[in-house]
Amino acid sequence: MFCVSIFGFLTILVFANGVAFSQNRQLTNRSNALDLVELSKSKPSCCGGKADAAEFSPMNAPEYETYKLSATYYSLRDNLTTTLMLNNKGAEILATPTLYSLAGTRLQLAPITVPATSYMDVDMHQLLNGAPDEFLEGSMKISYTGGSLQLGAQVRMIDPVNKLIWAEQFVYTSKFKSNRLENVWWLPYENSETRVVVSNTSSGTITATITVDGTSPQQSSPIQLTLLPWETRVLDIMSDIAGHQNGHVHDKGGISITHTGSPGAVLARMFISKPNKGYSAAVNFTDPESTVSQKWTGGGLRFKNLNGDDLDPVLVARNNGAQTSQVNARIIYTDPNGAVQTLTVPQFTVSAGSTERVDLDDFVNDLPSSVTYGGIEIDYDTPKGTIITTVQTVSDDGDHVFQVPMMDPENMPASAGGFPWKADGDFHTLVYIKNETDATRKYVAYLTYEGGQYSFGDHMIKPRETVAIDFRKIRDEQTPDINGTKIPLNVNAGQIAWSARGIETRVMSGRSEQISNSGGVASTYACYACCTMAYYDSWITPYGATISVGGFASFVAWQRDHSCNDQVFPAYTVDASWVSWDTTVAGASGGYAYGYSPGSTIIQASWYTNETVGYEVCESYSQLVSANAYVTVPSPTVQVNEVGFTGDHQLTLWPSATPPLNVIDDPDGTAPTWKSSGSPDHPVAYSKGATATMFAKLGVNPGSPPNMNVKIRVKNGSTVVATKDIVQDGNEVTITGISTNLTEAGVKKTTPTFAWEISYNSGSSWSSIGNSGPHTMYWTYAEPLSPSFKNDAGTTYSPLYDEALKRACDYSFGESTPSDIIWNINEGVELDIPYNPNQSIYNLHPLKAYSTVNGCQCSDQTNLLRGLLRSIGIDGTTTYIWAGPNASTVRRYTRSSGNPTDYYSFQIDRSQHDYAEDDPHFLFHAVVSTNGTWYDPSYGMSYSSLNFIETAFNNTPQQVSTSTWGFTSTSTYVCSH
Amino acid sequence: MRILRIYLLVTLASGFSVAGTSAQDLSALQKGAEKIVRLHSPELRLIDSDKTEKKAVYNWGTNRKGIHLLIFYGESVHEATEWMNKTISFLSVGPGKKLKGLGDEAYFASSPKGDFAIYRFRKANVYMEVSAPSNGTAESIAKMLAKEIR
Repeated sequence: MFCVSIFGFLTILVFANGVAFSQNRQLTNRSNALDLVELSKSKPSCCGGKADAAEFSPMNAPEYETYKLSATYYSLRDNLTTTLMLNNKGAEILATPTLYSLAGTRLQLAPITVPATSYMDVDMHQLLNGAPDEFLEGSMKISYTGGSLQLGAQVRMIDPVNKLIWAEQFVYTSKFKSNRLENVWWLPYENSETRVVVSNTSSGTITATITVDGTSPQQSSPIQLTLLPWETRVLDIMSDIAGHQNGHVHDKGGISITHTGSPGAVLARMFISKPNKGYSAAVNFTDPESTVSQKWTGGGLRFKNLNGDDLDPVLVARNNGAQTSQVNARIIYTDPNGAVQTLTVPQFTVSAGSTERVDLDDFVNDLPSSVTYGGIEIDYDTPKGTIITTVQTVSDDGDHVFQVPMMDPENMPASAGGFPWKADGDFHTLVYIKNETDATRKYVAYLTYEGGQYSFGDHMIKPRETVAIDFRKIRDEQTPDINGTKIPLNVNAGQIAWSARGIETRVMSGRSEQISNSGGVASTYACYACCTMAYYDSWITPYGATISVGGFASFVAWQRDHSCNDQVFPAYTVDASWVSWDTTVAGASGGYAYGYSPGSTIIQASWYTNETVGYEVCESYSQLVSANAYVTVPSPTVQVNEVGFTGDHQLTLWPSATPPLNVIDDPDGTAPTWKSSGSPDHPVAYSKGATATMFAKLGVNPGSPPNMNVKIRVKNGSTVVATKDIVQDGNEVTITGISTNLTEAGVKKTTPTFAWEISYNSGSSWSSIGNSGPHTMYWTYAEPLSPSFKNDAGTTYSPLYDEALKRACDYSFGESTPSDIIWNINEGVELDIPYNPNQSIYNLHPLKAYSTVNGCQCSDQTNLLRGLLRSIGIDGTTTYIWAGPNASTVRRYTRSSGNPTDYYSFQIDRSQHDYAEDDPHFLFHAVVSTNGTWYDPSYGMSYSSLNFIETAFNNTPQQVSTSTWGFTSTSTYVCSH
Repeated sequence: MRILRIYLLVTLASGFSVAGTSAQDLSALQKGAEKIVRLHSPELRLIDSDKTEKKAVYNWGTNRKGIHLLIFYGESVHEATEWMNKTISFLSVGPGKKLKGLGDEAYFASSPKGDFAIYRFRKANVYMEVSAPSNGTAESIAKMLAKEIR
């Protein structure tokens, strides 16, 4: 069976297990048949034409052939409203109806245009307007050129006065396997009217033998019926089949038909009605040879009506075989926790040729109130096809009967189908999908309507589970689909398509059920597609993304499928495996890409999807597909903003010689020496051979995610001087203890500019985060000595002044031995400070010598030299030299050529220098003494002793002391120079 | 010529103004001294100044050539005298020729080549040192400074 329809008002019962076949033969017109063509014009679709959003794939085009579908019976008599419903699951097609009168006269009508992916209802009264009266009743075929199973059709005969309806799904007669037909009936009301219609769908005369079980009195012997080509016979069960004018039909029973024609040459249907109860049904006949297993299954067994009222489920089984059969049934439902539960019905016996009814309400009464539907599975132990079943649920007042079409689970068509969707008035169209396997599966569903498509998406279904989709509820609640699409509230008709996903194609059953509480209407319709939907194309959204380092972006993999009729459905998301082509730039997992380091890469999603090969006979296979998105990880705006040093010698800015002192970075490690903006540009000092340790502050914009591990490194030119692992967090990162290998072997000043770099991938790649500097770095000989300076007035100065290091380090020229260093500094002082023995800065800081114009005397320069040396860690002694009788007394004299108020104690042999005379006379002279050497910054000389060429009377001894004399004696000696 | 006359008028006017400044406190004396040097040698840039409670040291020019000025403002004449004595007693060469007419006590010294001259003088409680590359400059400024002290 490929298409099943049950429709009714108040009480509806139709089930169809018909089998269709592809009829490629040309029909042979009977000689007395009347051909009427173009009697009907094309009718518009119920949806107003082809849905705007419907799309058809240009590839994998189906093999278009001419197919024919047949219906047993139609009638326009007795004020019936008769409608032909055409359901097209593919591209627009032309459907050509051919009608046969009861006698078999042929009437071919004009083709009807059926828009793509839509259904349409055609008023048969208009269709047959003007046709001879004999066509008010008969059988019907529909032919079309298109894909297999693309078109479904149903004829509905409605008695609006008594709210009766008989609906029959057209069948592809090619699917019949034998010339046997069997049915089972259950009449909920006594004295129901019953008719059996038998129709010859072939061009040959056929003899049919009909047996009925379930009448009183019983049929005495099977009847034989001769059916002329295309002839249709309407039979009364009691009088025409059982052979009794009086008697009655039992509440349950069955009819068996054998015929002499080919399989499918005879169709039969049983029509039941109880007008005063509003009950009607069209009962289908099953070809028992079409079954391949001893099982029946049905999805959408309702336990409660839409209004919440309880329903009583009934199972009826007829044994048309020769052996007694043991029958088992299981009711399967999903509990409120989402677990699939099974209720087992006790085994029951159905004797050969008999029919048994089992009330299932005792088993479902205790179900939670939220459980409104489920599924049912039946198996039996006699040969396949010997048990025919019907399952339905009936409301307490009898107004509603919901039929569950039963299928052979091992002989199902492809797990895909399409149904009309009706949502006008209070109609609900529910889609039931049942997993017929013991494995969890996936399915997709779509609603196509005028102007759009709604994707229900990709969903899991548990083993044996039945799920229901209510698109009306989705519409009313304006639930957006995965694409954000909402079903417009004014849309009340469309077409539902569903499909299992995966490479196994016969794993699920599906049907639709239309219910109207107010009208007491329920109907079922199941129309399968030729194959499950298959992969059409795929992509990733977003197509590209920019991710900050440490950030992430989410991606979604999308897939579109198309049906075997080449309709392309809206995209849905898929679970995929995600990889990054360059994991140093970004990683990928679970639909997320994570930025690791600046660069760009491709994020690829891969997944297995199902493709189909062939047509109608579908072979699915799995194929790995992939889609790409591009990811850019921009360089983060990390910037080194502050740099400082620790473990260095504490410096004080010159010339703040008096408090408050401008001490740099006090306490150590608290103040940067360099800033990217408004930099203090303070110097730093280390002893030679020591390594510098830095601290830094980085600005990060936008801020880093919490606790992000990165590396930073510092380069001096091309040399990496430091590398450190840090944790980046927020907009500002403070790094302490950056140990460097930065050192110097000599006393000097360096001004390195550091290049700062960051790595987000453990050092695989580095990005610049800016430069710092130039940093003024002084490298001393040793730990600076304190107090560094002392003036002639005896005042000592403790601070280590940057000016002192600047001078000393500049003078030292990188020398590393004390003698070379002192020599260089001694010479530097001599060059920079004019020697002026007549001017003293006496009680000023010795460094003031640099800013004192016109020079200063020897002791000032000596104090300066000593202070510079002590500032770089080399000690020296200010040594005063004069002539005097003892170490505490100076003996002075005057010069005849000089001022009488100028006094001298000795003369030395020196050339004229700066403001000093040639062979000068001095009261005293001063040098720095260290390790036995006297360094004389006034002249830029060093020596171990000073030779006097004159003293008072040339007999005054030389005095050398670290302090000046305390007493003065004035000699009468007058120098003649 | 007309421009020169105007300049001289301005200079004289400035000189009268300086001469009228009170030197009864160090601050006023500093301002007066700074003005004297600025007017005398406007081309020289002040490269260093060091001011404490009782003392102010100025250097204009370069460390090789320019005007050096030291002002000590003692609390008493005695203190200024002691300061002066201590200073001039610890000179390698000096203090130079004793002068009259420049404050209460004054000395002048110069370099052998005549490219340096220094005046040291005390007037009342103020001791001053003025050195310059020429005797003329040093003398001129020293005299104006001496007048500034009242």
